[in-house]
Amino acid sequence: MTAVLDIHDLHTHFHTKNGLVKAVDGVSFYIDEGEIIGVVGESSCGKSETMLSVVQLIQTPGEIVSGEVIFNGKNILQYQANSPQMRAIRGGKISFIFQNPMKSPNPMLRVNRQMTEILELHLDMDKEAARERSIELLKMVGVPAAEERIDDYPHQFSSSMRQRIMIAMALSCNPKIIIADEPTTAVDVTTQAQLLELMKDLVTRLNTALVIVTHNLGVVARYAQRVYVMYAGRIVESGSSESIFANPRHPYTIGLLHSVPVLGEKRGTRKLIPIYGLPPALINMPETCAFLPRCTYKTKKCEQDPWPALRQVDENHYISCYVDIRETS
Amino acid sequence: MNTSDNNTMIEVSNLKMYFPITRGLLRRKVGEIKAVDDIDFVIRKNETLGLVGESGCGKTTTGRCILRLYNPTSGTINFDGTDISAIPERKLKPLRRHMGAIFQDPYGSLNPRQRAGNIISEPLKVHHMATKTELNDRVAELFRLVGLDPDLLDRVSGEFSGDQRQRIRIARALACQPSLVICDEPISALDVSIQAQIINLLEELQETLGLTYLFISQDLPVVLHISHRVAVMYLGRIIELASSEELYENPLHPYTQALLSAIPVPDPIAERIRQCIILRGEMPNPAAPPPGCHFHTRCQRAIDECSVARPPLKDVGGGHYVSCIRV
Repeated sequence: MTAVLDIHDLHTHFHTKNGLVKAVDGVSFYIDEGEIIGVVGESSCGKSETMLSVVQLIQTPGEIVSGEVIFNGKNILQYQANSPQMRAIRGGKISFIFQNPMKSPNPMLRVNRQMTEILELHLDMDKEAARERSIELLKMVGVPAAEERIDDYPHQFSSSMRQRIMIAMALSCNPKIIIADEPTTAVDVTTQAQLLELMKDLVTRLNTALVIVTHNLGVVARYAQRVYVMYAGRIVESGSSESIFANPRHPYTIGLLHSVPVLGEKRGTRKLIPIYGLPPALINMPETCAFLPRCTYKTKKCEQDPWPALRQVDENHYISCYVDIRETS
Repeated sequence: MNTSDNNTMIEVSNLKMYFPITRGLLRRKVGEIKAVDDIDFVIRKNETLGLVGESGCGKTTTGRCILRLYNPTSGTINFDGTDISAIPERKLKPLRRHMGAIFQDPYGSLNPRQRAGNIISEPLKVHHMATKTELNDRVAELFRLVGLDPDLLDRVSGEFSGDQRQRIRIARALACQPSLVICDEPISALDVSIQAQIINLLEELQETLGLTYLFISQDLPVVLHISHRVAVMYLGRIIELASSEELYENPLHPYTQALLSAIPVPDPIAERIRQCIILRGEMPNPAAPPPGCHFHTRCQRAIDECSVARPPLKDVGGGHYVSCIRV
């Protein structure tokens, strides 16, 4: 398998009034063709910023400082954000499903207009052909009466239908990669299951790679083949999803898994173990590990030495931590 | 199912809450939304009753009816022996202090410019629960109870982090030493690593203060974790009610089964063999719900009779109630 997207040491900084925020602080990851990966982390851990950096959608005061984004063998960070090459990739080869169902799709434009625009721009279709194709796409994602409803405004659809329209739009140019940023946060569980199953079926059929960015560990376990766990702008653990969930090695991942109630546990048998403290504010961070203040496994070394790079602990399993929990416990 | 005795905190019978749909200048009534459509349940003292269901199923409305923030269309709500469903406001006020509430909206339910100390002392003043001299001590005590440092009492609530704000809300709900606390989505706005802190706090408080909770949430794993018994709602009706163990191990209603199967568990190996029931379609319009069983339009096991009459919530033994004619 070859990687469709390979990201090396990506740094995205935000120059805020209060100081420098290293939202993405040396992130490297890759996606193979047709693969589903999960990126997990809590709010403001830099997971969305990483994905936006890939297609250069970072706005001031943010800035992509350094790194490489290799797509189809080329470093696409060398293109200007508004260059024709970058615009052809953004939305065409790498498409997005955003998290806010009230803003995306655009509430001011009819669905027809929003969908055909993409096809006319990226695939050079004429109006009729684009409309035909859009109807076909809407049918594919299960929007009933697509021929008539394509002329409706987004608010005339339910939130789960709007999310289906977003999926249709993301698929419209046969992209190599779809990045879904918290695709189901705002919907109910049974709808979440409908949408995620739909996405999984479609990307498997079309051999499109899918990145699911989420805070829901269960969603990742159900759909992703590989997982990246992010904390404070860095990847702290990565590996195959079997390996990470069966044998988590980073204190943060272990903490996350202990702190959520799991279906099927008898009431009162296990008290949840929270991660004490709060995620850091990311402004003017110290050199040491960002998880240190909340870590229950910390050692002298952690307090003195800088945040370690990812190291391999098992076949296809990496952590950025000096302590290897399996060895100490 | 309702056998009231000394052990009952809340007994809800035939509760209905209909909201009118109005049109035009004269606000002519053209229909109604049956947000809560004839439900019965009991909450025992010192118990947590979980109320789950998807958005729009009426769980928040149920909570607000019990607090009498809405005047129910019909039905009775017995709170510790008194029917509060229709009593006038002046008789209600002395009872209100026995009910605490933690609301859903993380931004709207605290004034960001009000000092934390004031937020907590206000209910004490309203109910004349403390003299001026006692007030500060009582507020500091409440602050410590929810795990906050009393040195922070003078800060405005906007300066606190999300979990601290949730703790302030809990302290306010507990200020008048209530016996019942309605928790409406108390953790849904918090990060995963923080949620556990609040869940543990609520559990500890229940133990030390002997509280009774109505725990309203969409998050079934959390509800099953914290509740003794769980009621599942769909389009204004309770469709299944059982102890949390029973509900997980032996869900009988097709909707409960779908709901449980839709929740992914953080274990990829278990996930490979789990069967996920994907429901057809969407929740019907609550202004025009389908006849008979509300769920029959999406149910895999539906037969013709399902659309005829509303299935009663019947006892299948061991305190397990289900509203389905196929069971």
